[in-house]
Amino acid sequence: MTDKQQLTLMLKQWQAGDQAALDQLIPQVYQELRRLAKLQLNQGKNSIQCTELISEAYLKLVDINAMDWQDRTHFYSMAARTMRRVLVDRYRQRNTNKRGNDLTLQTLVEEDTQQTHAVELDALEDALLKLEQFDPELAEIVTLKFYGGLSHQEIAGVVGSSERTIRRDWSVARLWLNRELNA
Amino acid sequence: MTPERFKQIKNILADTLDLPLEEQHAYMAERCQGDQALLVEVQSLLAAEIGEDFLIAPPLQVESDNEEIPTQIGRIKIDQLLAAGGMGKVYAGHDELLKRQVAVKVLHSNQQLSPEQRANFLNEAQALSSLQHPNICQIYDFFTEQGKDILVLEYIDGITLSQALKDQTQIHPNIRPQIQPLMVAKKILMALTTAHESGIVHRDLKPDNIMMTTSGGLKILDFGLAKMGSLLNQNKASEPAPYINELAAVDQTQVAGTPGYMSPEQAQGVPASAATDLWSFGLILCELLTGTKPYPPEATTHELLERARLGEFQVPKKLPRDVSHLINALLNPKPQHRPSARAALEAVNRIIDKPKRRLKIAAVMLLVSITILSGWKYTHDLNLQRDKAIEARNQAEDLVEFMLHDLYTGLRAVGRTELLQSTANKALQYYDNLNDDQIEQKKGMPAIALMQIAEVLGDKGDQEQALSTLNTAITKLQRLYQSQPDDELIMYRMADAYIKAADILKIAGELELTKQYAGAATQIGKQLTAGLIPGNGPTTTPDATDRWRIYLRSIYLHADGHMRLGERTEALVLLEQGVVDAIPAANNNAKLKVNLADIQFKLCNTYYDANMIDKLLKPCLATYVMDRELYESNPSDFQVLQYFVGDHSVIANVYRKLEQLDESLAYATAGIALGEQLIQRDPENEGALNEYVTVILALGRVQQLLGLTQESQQSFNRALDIIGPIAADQEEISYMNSHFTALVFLQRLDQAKEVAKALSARNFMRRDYQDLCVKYDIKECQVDALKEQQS
Repeated sequence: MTDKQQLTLMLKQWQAGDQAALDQLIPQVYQELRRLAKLQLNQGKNSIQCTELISEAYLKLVDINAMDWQDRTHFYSMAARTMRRVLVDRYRQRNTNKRGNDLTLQTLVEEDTQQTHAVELDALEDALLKLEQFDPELAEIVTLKFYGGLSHQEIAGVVGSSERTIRRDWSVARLWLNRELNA
Repeated sequence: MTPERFKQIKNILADTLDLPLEEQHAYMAERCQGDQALLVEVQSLLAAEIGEDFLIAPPLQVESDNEEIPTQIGRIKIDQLLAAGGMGKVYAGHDELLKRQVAVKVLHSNQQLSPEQRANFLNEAQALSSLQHPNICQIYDFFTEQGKDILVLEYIDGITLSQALKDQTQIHPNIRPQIQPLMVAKKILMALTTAHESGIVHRDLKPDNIMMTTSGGLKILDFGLAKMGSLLNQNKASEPAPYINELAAVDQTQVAGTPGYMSPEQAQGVPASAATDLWSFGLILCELLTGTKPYPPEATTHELLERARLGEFQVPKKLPRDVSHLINALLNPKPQHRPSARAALEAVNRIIDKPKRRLKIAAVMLLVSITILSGWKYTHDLNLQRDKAIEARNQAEDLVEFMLHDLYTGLRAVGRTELLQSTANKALQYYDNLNDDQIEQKKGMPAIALMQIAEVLGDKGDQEQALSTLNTAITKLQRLYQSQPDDELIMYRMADAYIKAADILKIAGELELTKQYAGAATQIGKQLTAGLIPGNGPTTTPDATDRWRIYLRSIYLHADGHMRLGERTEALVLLEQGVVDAIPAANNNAKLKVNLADIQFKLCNTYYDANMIDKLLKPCLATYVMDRELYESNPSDFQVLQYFVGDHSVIANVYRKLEQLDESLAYATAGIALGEQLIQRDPENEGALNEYVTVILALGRVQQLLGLTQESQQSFNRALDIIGPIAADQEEISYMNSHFTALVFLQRLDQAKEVAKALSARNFMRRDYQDLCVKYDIKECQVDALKEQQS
């Protein structure tokens, strides 16, 4: 069985309810997203385009002939969560380095390019974890949109809701997180 | 905070945001009903200052450029950096003195020209700026400041052709009308013709150097600049362009041009000439028409150069003959054998101006449509734009949903779909730009919407636009179908698309393609009905009716295509089998009766044309009976009534052939009464008027045979009065046929001959028409041999 077929199989197993399959799945997707993100930054792109990365990872990792669009949506939602981990981990690693910590850490961009963040991912992560405690669905919508680059419509498909609800929820989540981060 | 409390906050906040700003304050207070803490919480969420790109900008950004953007160059105030390339940077700026927007190209300081080179370049720049061609980017100025060579150019708002080709499947805000590839080609050639005839060669023509402007124009950039590039490369031998390494033996100064679009002579180091640009144009034309680059995507620079040197580019076979002939001429490895820009322009104009052929090109070729976007490429905040695009997408989809599900059916029933035209155009622009993924997510739904739009356009008589829309839809569906050939819903939609295409192609007179599409639909129909009891099947889409309808309707259309081409034997084979399949299907499923009626009707007509009189009455009467049932249960349905009127003329004519004149007269008379009802309901409907005329003609003919000479002349005159103006206005064969018949019976043979000429030019072969031609010795008609009757 090729890697692609194996990953496709795991994805199907996870969808069928097998959480162990997801645990196997995430490290591989994580690696691939990391690799792609690094590639994108080294190519001189000045921002990480999450949807692009996830689409690329999808094509690379999964046997698309064996997938239908629901599988694809599942993959995207999982990849968005993984992307959140990739970027938050990476943010924390870089900021530890800045503080002179000696930990040898892999970075996405080897040379020391200056990086800016529209938001402090660290603080956002804390806020998201807090939000998850009383409204996990809202936190998921943020993850899918911000880290996954999914459209409202795609998100509606993933969480089984209407586009209108997603749009409303997103506005609220954005306001709440904004205040949380500014506090 | 508890989940319940948060939910309360969330709902109030979301509802508030749905309201206009001025109502929000009062609404919040009302909703919180004196719960002061709740009100404070909601208000504080709304009050916190929020960056417009908060959580909209991508999570990680890198500052790509440490260099500061200059604020002023010469008298030009610089606004922003547009691009950074090998030769230098390009800024957008404003000429303070001349009050115009300009682009400023600042060459790298280590890339300076020697005095002779500068003089040389200036000569060409002057010649170029004197051209003032609308399709060539103007050079305004050329000077040196702080040791840097600076070019001031016309500012162009738009995107490059290469970007446009890449983006054509994406959605963007500000979607503009699409441009057809041949029109793009024409504009490029107009620029090349003018430049070449003034002695200026581009040397590096490629999609990256061609801008599609937001106002729908086209501008070629960097005319003659490749020469400067090569001069610069000569100056700094220490750092040659990477592709020059591949050709160490070649005189480096001559290798200007982009691998991939570079001509054989450039690859061999021979000086570039006007013919060089035409080679590059040939490759661009190929890419415009087929949507793909004329070389493998993974080819290395070395391979590309080698390919160019050998003149080895394969012209895709699917292109129409005149187009591929032109591309082959342009891609001749020997520069002296390529056409001039003017000759190529004339060839392209010929292709564009042949409407018939253009229709065919639209039907058989993947049309590359290019969307022009307003300043998209250089927008600072791409994500904001993206959000807008998503919003635009949602709006467009809502619009189309409404149009397809609510408006369309209603308006079609009353024959007024042209009211949807402007909506259709908007939706078209939107759907035309959806990519495969988006189509896939909806299982081809957007492509189906495109088909509906094509039908609207077809109804409106805009056949060309209808065909090109159809093509986009079919291409999108085919890709989806090929990726998921076993998905029954997609199969069904594919077949449905083929059927709609066949319908429109039939009206456009593209009968070979009609047969091809209908045949493809039959194949899918067979798969979808395999192993099912006739007329039965699943209850979910594609349900029993969907499946059998596809199969039966495609047989009908396929046979119709054959019949219109005079291929009656082939049509009969299909129809006779079709009746065998359709009878049990319609017996088990009443919704399929209309399909059985169609097939019976076509069979009746085909026997009629083949003069197989002994077989004629059965299918003709069967159609009549079924249409009568339909009419009796839906007396107000316009279409049903129209069919039923048509049946009366057919039966009247059949009985006339069988020499049962009383029967014939009875049917014709009954048909007239119904026909009058029909045209009263829609006096402007030309199809209905023709149906009425046909029944009048049938009446006139039987009256004549019964010796009612005066009455019959009255009938023919009445028919001519109605059909004459319609046929003069619209060259539709059935109108022309009615016109012809009326003229013949009124003994206006000279006029009839003119119509006959036009009909034979369209391969018209109906039996009554042929019989009249023989009887009145009208040589202009095309008459066939009736092989079926003998066999």
